[in-house]
Amino acid sequence: MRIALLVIGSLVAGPAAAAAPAGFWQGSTPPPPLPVSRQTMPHGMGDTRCSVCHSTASWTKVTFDHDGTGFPLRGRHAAVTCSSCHASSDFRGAVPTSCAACHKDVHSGELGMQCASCHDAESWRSRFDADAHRRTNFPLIGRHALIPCEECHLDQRDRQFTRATVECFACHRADYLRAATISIDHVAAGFGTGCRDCHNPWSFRGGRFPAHDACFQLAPGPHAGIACLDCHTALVGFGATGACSTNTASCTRCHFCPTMQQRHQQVSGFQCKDRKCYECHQFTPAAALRPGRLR
Amino acid sequence: MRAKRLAMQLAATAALASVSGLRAAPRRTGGRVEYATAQRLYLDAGARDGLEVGSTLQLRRGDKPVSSCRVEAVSERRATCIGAGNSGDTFVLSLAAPLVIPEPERSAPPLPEAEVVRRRRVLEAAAHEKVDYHGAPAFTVLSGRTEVRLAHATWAEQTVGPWRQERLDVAIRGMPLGGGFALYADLSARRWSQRSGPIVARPDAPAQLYVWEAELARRPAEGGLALALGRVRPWSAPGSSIIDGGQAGWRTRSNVEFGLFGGGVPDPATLAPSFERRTTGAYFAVQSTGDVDSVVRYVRQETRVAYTDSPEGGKRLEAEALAQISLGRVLDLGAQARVAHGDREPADSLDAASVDVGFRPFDRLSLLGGFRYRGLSVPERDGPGAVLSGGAARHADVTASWEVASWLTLSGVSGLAKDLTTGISHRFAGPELGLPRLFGDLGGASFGYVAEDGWSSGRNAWVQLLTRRPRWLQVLLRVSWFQTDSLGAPTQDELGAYASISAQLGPFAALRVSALGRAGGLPGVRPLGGTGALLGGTLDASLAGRF
Repeated sequence: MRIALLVIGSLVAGPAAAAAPAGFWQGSTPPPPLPVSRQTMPHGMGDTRCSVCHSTASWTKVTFDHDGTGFPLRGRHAAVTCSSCHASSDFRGAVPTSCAACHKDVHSGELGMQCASCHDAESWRSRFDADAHRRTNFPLIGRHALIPCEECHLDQRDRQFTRATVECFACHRADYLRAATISIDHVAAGFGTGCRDCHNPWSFRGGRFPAHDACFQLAPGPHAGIACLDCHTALVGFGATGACSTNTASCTRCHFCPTMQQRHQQVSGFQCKDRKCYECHQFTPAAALRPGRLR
Repeated sequence: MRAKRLAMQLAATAALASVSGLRAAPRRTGGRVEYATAQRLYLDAGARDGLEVGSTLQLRRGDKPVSSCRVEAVSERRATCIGAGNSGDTFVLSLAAPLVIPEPERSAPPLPEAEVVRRRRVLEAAAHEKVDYHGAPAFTVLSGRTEVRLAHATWAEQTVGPWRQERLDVAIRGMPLGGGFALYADLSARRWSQRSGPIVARPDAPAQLYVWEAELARRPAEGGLALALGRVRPWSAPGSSIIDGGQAGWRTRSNVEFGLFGGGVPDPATLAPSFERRTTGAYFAVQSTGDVDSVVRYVRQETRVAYTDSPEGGKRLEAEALAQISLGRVLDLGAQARVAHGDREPADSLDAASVDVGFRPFDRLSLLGGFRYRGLSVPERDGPGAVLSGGAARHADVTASWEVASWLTLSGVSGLAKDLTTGISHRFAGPELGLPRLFGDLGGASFGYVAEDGWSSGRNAWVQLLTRRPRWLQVLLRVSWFQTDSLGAPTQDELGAYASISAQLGPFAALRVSALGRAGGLPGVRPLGGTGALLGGTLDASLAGRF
């Protein structure tokens, strides 16, 4: 029993304590040394200070301060067994710090070696979020930051996050066509497919129509952000010809006649008619936001 | 007489000094962990030093608090404590009055010498066997290689939405099944409980199942037959799609593997099994790890030659190679290239090429860079009936990081991305200042600014806080400002906020909740600025268990 305790004690206390107390074997022949082989010394012959890693509480629950190795064990790495990374139990072989050395790459190597750009040691779940997307060719501005990834990245198979193109129309073709039913028939009007010339990424509503400003300035000013059909009674067959005449603009839908008549009592020849409004009030870049004046 | 009185005074002074010295005997103010096991710490202080069973000690390593432990048992000068720590950790002793230690019981008289000699001889003559530990085989289902995650996500915006999704993700990474075979699986079952607005991705399928991997495989580390069957993500075959089929190869002791693979390629949008697309080919891979003293610490080389047939790409012969090498801790290099010859292409084409470099000339300085070229025009289904073609692009970025001190890091990032189909590009560059110990052990902060140019020019800046205390809890908060001035002028501003909380709930469970909010508006309207301001956000919560 005492020998067993001594053996355990020497394991715990290290080589300095491994020697038997002086005189212990006096008067008798000491037993032959215990057979030591690689089989019984799995970590090689160099170091028998078992207590550096093992304890008497459990042989398998190993504690080792890995920080000094240059690869601190953080997150899930702290929970894996030594043999998951170290091929040999003598810990002599270098273990590469490259992720791909241990982890199977679900991206088939297509996204490079810098896994830490998107992942961390806590979880394989990606940390790549809408803010990080600004470092691609498609910054997620407006509503684009608020939709599920798969609405754009339809290819689920290879996890390479390909996207055919970053051109708006590539994704919004249906919206371009659908506009005919809710506002202006973009095809009939001859609008181009450069969506961002008129719309911003937060909303298709309040589209900016630069050509409109040449006839009647919308933005900036009190008319900024209003929908086309708030003013125009109909835009069926409308064509963006630059002629400044659709004969569909209805000022009086918002600027009610009783109010306007009262406000224009001093204006001779005033008539509460849409065409008449426009004869005096021209919100063009030159006239800016100044009130209408008699011509 | 005077000399005698002086001598008496000196004696009295000395006596008083000795008494006061006894009263102010230097009490220990701190103790030390002498020995540590996985759960228990052995302390060099005991009841005489004021330790009591059940009290909590804060352990420090150097100047840093590392953990705490609860005193389990106390003897006069020693104690044990339940908790995690290392030998050499220190703790502060309470200044409360030490316990009154009763007189120890009188020990038994020593054994007669003859009896000692007799017992010694019995021990010497006793046969004993060396203890050899053999761990009990672990129950394979609880191998720690299975992860199950239950998640909920919401996307909402003021005018459209919300979208809600519940998701169950399962990942099994080599659960041993016997006979050298292990199970690998990677799947996700998703249910859209709510969707609104125009839906692009599988609008007719509110319940979706994606299986990326479900294979039985054996890849013996000591060499031999490597085999995988099922829905396989081919190992060591760079650029290969997942296949419904098999992979068979031979693996040598020196980590060389070569073999064949083949099968049907699942539908890209649904991952449904299909032989409409198929591939077959061969692969060759070498992986080598150097000694700790060697210059070449790691080499990985993989090659794939395959024949593919698909409605999108036609019949093609592809060759792809990947190489990675680590030289010491200084340099990591990686390169990959794929060339192909197809029946729809007049000549051989370079489908893809990439280079990655990680350079650390000093411990505190690192340079990371990458270049990626995609030359293949990718047909991609964009909802029912809509197929897009394009995708040729190139991207390059570089990040330089200098750890000036343990509390200060300076970084710079720059990049370029260009869509080769349309020619539109996006460039960005900016600095980042990191103060990782701004709040001491609690955590730190970072500040960044990026200027952007190209089709979506503008700028953005952010402040980010990251805390890691207690150790099982990580909280990340970020506030961002974005300004874009080339999308249908006038300039647009957006404010963003992001919060992420990750909690390790014991050894087997983890919780993560993240939320993102954005405020922007119609052209010319400032975020949160009244009429025309728009708000939106996302919420993602998941509970993961590991078995």
